[in-house]
Amino acid sequence: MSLTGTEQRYFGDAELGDEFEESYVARPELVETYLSVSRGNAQLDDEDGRFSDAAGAQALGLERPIVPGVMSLSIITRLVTDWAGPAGRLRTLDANFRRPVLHGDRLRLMALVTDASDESGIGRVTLDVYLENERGERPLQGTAVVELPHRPR
Amino acid sequence: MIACYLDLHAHSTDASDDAGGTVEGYLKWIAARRRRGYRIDGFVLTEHRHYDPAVRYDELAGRYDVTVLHGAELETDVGHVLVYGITPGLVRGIDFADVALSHRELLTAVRDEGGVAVPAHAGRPRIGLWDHAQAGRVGFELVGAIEALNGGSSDEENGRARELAEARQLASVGGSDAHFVSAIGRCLTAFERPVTTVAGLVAELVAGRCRALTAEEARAEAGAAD
Repeated sequence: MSLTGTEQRYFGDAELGDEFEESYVARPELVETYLSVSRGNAQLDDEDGRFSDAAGAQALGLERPIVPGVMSLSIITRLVTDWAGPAGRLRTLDANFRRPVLHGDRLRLMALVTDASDESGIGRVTLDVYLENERGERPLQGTAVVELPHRPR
Repeated sequence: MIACYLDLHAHSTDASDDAGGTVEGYLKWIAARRRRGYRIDGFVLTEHRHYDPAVRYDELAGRYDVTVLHGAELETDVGHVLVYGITPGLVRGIDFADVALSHRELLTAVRDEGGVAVPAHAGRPRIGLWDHAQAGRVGFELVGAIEALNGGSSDEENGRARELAEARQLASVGGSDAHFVSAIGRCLTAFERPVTTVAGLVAELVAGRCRALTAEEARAEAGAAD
């Protein structure tokens, strides 16, 4: 049993084309909790209500309040770090935001192995990561580079 | 009878600043998809507002047995447009960096230079043709085909694009709009004849011998034909 409760992934386990995913519902109460624990973060300025208030969001032209971008990034980061396991190291994660994630969206959190190489004994795995909603849109997409240990002999 | 499946819309880190996929990454991914039964014969790089005829991927593409062709995605007053068959004359006559090109001028220039222009992600608001068509702003006499299946569009947006293609009797093409490796080949265009050159691509698009479909549909179709 690891400290994080996730299994360890080894470099030899990762193969180009491997896919893994989880589902996630962007429930308003989760956004509320995220905002409350992140108070003071300038990226989470909710003065106009975009993250929490239906009327405020509609005044901005949004159908419903939206999930903060940094929260979306946290959600996809957790998918990758859980996959990598406690001894895996997330080296980089670059993402771009193409559409808003709305309160109540049912998301598929997806990651796909697009490259794997051994660089001087370090197993380096590149992943494409996505959030996909039930409308077939991918509001967040990006790449992550993870270092994985080799399986002990 | 289907001769080949190409993804007509892809971006790479070489020239699109919002892309995370490299050309070699796309090639490796296609090789991996083929091992899982998918049929992707090639793709067209359509970088945003950019075309460099000096950049070639022939040697790299040959190693993976994948066709890689070049076009560009330009921005007009009725949304984005994929351009295939770019000539030196077109590069001289059109400012590729302009984000508000007159679609009439662009489509006329492309036609006169022997190329073909295809409005991209036609069902998307603002950057697709749909809204502009509803407002009567589109010179449809210059449009022969539209991207009716786009990997970055929602199901509803692709549905609108299909409706538009059917209503206007336009040929349909499919493109992944890949910005990241694993998106390449999600949406494809099926051709009745082999396409391995830009000239061949233009000829098939102008003739309308093409059809949009998803990677899964292509896989099933190709599997049934084997």
